[in-house]
Amino acid sequence: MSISGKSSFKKSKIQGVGIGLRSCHYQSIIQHKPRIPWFEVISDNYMIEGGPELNYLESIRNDYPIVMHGVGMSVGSVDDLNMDYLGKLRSLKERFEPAWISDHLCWVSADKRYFHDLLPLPYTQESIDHVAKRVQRVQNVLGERILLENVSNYMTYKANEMTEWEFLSNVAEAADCNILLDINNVYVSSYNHKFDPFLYLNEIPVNRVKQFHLAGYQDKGLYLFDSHSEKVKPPVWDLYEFAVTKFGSIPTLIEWDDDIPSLSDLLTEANKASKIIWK
Amino acid sequence: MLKEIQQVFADDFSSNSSEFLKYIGGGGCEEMSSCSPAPKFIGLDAIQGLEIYRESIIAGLARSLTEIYPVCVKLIGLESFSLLAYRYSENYPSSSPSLINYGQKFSAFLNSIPQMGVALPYFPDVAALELLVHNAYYASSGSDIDLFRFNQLTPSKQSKVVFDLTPSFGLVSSEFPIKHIWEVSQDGADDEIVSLDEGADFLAVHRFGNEVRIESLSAELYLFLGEMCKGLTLSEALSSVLNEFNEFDFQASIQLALDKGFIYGFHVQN
Repeated sequence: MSISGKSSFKKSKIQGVGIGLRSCHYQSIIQHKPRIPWFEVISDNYMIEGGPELNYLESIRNDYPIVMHGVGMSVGSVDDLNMDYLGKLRSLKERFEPAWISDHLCWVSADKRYFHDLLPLPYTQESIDHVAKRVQRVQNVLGERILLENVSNYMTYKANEMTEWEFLSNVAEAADCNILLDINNVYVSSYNHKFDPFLYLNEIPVNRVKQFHLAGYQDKGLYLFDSHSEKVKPPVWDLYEFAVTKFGSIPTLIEWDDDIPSLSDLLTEANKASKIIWK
Repeated sequence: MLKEIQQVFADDFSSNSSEFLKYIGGGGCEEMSSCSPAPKFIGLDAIQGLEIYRESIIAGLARSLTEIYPVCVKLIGLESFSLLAYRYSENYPSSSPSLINYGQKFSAFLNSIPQMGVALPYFPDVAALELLVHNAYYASSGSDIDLFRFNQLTPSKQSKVVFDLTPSFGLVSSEFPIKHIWEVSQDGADDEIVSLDEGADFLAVHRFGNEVRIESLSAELYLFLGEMCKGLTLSEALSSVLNEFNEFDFQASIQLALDKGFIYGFHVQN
């Protein structure tokens, strides 16, 4: 990858409600510079050799602080850590200076095959030890503490030794990393596996949570699917209000990946979250 | 246990089996002795849960193909394209953490479908063109060639020069007018019918600034640039082209390749 060199972006604190940066909004953002406190960037989309996408990001980064969120780190996989991927992530970090970097508590690859889906881990001590070791290596490469996000879940391992919230908390503690708490994922998993989402939030250590995600799910009848293609649903707003009460005014992101609406529609959704966070 | 679980999941995908089911149970807390209070009712069962992931994985890969091959989608419609994309995704695993790199063998896959040659003979070539456009968009930028240094070389050294083609550069040919098909399939293009009798296309794809360009070439220039892509020296590439096209205008061809920005560097082979 040809990106390198130190940049000199203004350091700005990440606070309030940001939105996910998507290519269909580049022109509008660059032209109109809407009042958005920060953007979350999918780091994997910029692990490229060159071209317009990096130029757009550079231009937007000049005006906004960003955080980087990845989907390909595969911290739960038993495959070797992909050092090429981590090298590219480090280059992106050096070039664009995100306030922090996050990925998911899951595995996306096995036997050198990438599934591009966020597969859950068994909630076992073995998984905790495995992930903690890998996250520590990642943090050494990146030179900073990362955030791990809880994923939405549709299956339960027989080998589970603890609840999901115990697993997430234990991993964060063992790896000494922070948590990106996806409120929608908590709700989706709680519906699919019939646990109490408020109990989940109550058991997560306050000091580790540095970011929230909000997104929309699809109701498939038998289960909820984390589609990122809808507005945030009422039960998730309720859970978010509870989370803000417990964890404080943590920076929150409106996530939308499919059937992406106009920037103004996204801002309407962000404003709704802002009202809760700053209440 | 972790290694075993992940290996079985991967093997299941390759063999289309469901061994993985032995590792998953139904519902959230039913298997956990430490879960308290015990859940009142149980959620998704094992088969349903596994199926959600399988469907999501294949659908995700297939969706990435619709983004790489928008003209192909337009030509046969989303529903038909999705059938092909699903079949491809089931048979061609991804080996990269980035979906931007997926779908590199889609044209070859299309060519392997026996009915394709009869029903849509131009379709795999359009896919090959779209892949080059996609790859060019994400390629690194080439720098300007140092012509002064090239002109300082003695003629014998110049004959041993190997040109470096710009990183976004790619070649594709077809017996069908795929460039015209690509053009009329762009958003906002005039509603136009393309006759397959328009003839063969010899094309170069490259990015100039932010813009990906598709350039029509003569058959001889296409061959010449193809030989350079293989890393042949100028004299080797020239002799190969002259074997087929004895009227090949070397000077004009090099000038055109330079003017278009196909060439961005060179080295002299020892």
